[in-house]
Amino acid sequence: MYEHVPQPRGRRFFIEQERGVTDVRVEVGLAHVRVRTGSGEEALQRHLQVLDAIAERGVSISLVKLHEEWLTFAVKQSDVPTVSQCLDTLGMEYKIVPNLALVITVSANMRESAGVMAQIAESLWEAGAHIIETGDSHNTVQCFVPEERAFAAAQALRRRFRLGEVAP
Amino acid sequence: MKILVMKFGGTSVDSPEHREIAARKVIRAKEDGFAPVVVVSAIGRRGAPYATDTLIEFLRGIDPSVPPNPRELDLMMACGEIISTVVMAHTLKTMGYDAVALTGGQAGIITDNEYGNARVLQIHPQAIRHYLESGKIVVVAGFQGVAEDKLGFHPDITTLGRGGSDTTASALGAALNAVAVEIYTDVNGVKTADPDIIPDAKTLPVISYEEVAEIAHQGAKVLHPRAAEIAMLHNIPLWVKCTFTDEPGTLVTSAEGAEGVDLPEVTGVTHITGKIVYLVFHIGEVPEKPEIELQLYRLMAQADVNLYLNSYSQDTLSFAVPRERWGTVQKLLDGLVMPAGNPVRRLVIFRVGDKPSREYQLQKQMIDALGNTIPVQEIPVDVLENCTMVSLIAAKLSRRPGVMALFLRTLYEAGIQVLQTADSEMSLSCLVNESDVERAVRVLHEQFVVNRAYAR
Repeated sequence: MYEHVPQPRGRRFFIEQERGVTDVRVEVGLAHVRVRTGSGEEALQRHLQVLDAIAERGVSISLVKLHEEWLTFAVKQSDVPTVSQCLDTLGMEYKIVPNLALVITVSANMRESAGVMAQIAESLWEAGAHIIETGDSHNTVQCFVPEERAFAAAQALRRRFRLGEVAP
Repeated sequence: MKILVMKFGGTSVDSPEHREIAARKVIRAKEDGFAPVVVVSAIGRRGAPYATDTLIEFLRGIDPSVPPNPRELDLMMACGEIISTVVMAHTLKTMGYDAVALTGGQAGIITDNEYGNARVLQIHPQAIRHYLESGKIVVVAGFQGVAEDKLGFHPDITTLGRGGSDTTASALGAALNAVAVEIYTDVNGVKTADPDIIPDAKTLPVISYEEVAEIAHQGAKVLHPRAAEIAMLHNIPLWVKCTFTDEPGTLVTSAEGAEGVDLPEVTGVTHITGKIVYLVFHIGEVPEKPEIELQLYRLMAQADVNLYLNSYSQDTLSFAVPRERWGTVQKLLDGLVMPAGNPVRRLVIFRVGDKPSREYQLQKQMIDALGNTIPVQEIPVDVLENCTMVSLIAAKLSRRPGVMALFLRTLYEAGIQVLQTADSEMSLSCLVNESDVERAVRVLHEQFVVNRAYAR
């Protein structure tokens, strides 16, 4: 039924990973897209119209958020011309903020850690990195910030959470 | 020695009949040549005489106004598993098999000293190995260990928090280099959705550690994510099986470990059972917006409130809070006056909900009395109560072009209002009204699991 693969074990053996923030990563070369979709039933149709049209062009999106009157999402910087052309074709009102980066804070169980968001926001504030959008999952908080401040933001976060330095 | 860790949850040991069924599985493993290490939870659920919740209520019932000391509470809670361990070991003995019962501490489980939610640091497995080598079946109390001894005293008993017995099983599997860890429960494996909503939800034959951790974090109750994370860290194969059938169950392994078996593109649809409250702060496009946001985050941190689904726009900040913390949050926010700017350029006052509360009106009168010395800005806060999250777990799909469109179209066409979305490498999630949860699970399951509409 089961195969046994013997492995040497020491007397002291560390079992569970550390709690709290364990890593900070940076992803560069991104842009943030805001499309005015209006409100009510019309907005729902426009959400689908925009998302379908972008998907048809093979563009992958992330950090999708629904706001009053707006649909926002992130794309790779290299996809910006395709997305612009697509939204122009649809006749949409939109704005694209280029040269952004995602600063990703990784923690074992983010949604059970009260106060992490405050510490992240404080670190980014100190680093002069204005948050444009955020996303979160059970093990990450992702902050969209201007690329030029991303590494300063990551260093501030690593200092705050007592992690090693990150190479730019 | 082929060590096999077998964990039985509370419903698997809650009657003599169920204990006998569990014991027969252990005996079969022993007869098949394995050295079984059995981990048990406390007997039964709330109301059962030795269930953890019953023991907590007993202690708290002495005087509900005095909270128990966390150290003593752990000592009390650990009793449920110890009783269950002795009962299971004795059951095995009555069936003709020599067994020994060990507390977490006797099994060598060393934790930090965070009572009620301790982390397993090390395991000294010599005692377990000694008993296994002498041919005994070892039964270990789940959910507990002992704190690292710093003062030279006999160490304190600690408990591991939610899902603690799953954690014990995985941790022992890692420390003993077990051939596998089997988690026995009352369902026959990891399902593609909650069977209470989708009765014919499929049982997944194989799933990756990352996927099972994700579905557990997103609401599925079949396995605690800590157990999956320990198994992943130490690459121990984990099985989720049913105590009451002989079905194969679900293998949880690394993506590489699932050789010859295709991991599914869509793992399933999950939902969080607890309600959450979604708040939208209409801060406006003011220069002090980042500072106001930071102050709000600090306020929530001071009140020990977890935040979900954080989102920014040019003039708003949004996040969700757990329903059980909403009372605290509402009291903190409604009528709260906050200075903004350095030096202070304006005062902001938060108005929560549609109708101004008495607290808000009192505060407003006071700051209005300051006259025109400093501008006052009202920040309306929209409150969406009784929401919850539904997630599609699809590690291979979530970033594929068109999948978010299909996800939203499925919900919109079913007339389900989507209040917000979240996405990650592993999943797509939506915030919906609680009244729409079952329908959302059904339509997403139909579209992505049954029809595999994304593949067209």
